[in-house]
Amino acid sequence: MKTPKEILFGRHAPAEPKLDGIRALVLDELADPPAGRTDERARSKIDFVATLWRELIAPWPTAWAGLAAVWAVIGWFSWSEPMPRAQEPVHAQTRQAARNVFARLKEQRELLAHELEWAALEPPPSPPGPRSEILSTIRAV
Amino acid sequence: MLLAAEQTTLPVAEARAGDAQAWDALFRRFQMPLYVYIVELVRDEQTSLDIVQETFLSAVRHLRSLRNDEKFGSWLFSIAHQKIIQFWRRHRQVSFEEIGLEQAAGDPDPSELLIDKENQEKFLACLDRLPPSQRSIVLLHFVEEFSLDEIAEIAELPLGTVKSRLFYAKRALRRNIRKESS
Repeated sequence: MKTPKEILFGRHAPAEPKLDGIRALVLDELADPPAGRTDERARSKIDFVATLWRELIAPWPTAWAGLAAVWAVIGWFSWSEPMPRAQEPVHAQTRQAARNVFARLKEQRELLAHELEWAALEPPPSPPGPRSEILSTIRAV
Repeated sequence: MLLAAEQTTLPVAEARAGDAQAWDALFRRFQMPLYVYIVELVRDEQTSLDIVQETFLSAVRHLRSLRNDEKFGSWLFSIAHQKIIQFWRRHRQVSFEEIGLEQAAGDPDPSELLIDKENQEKFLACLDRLPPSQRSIVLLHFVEEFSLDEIAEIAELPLGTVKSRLFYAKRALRRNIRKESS
């Protein structure tokens, strides 16, 4: 009579030498790391990316391909379509408003020029005369 | 059968300090049970050897994360279990069907199922026919004689699920062996 453990170990006993080989390989690596301990961080980053690929991307290739296709279609639509129509009036309004501002500015400038022109035509105020003349005027009044 | 005394004398602390002899002793102790567990689930010799190697390398790299040295065995098996799941995902072989959560009796004894010489081949054939979810639990129970709590930790399953899967797996094994014998 045998236990399940004994039966299972008996079934896989021929793999024992290979397992010894693996053990020796791992111990060799432990004694002399292939790229040195300094590369451990870089290796862990590579491991992380590899794990991410293995765990997240590789198991569902069709799902990721489908997702990529959907994004490609969305991208294609957004690039091939002209500017959305809803934005056109806003754009036009902005342009019109700018035109109006410039027109008002021009008008204001012309008005200012006109005012300055009138000011140039008016006689300049005469300087006051001597004090004796002012006094005689006051007396006459 | 692994004695409790044997488990406490595992040179985990020495291995953590980088002692190559300690690692050699640990690997020597677990290489066969680990391989049997992996190959019975993966069913490919080369892949199983690769997973054993990856598990050993992971253990060397991450031993610092192990809090309780006495749990080295179940910790090592949990690394291997994760690697098997990754393999299954890559190859879409996984079929974790649930089989109910009926509670079986407490911690069963792995040696209760004794098989005579004529039935050994039948036992292996019946084991091969078990679904992976049950086979994984029953192998952890038979190969390393882990407790139900330890199996639950390794397989990241609720204790009730482990109990029920083990109960159904052993019942299926007994029934199938009996059926094939008659």
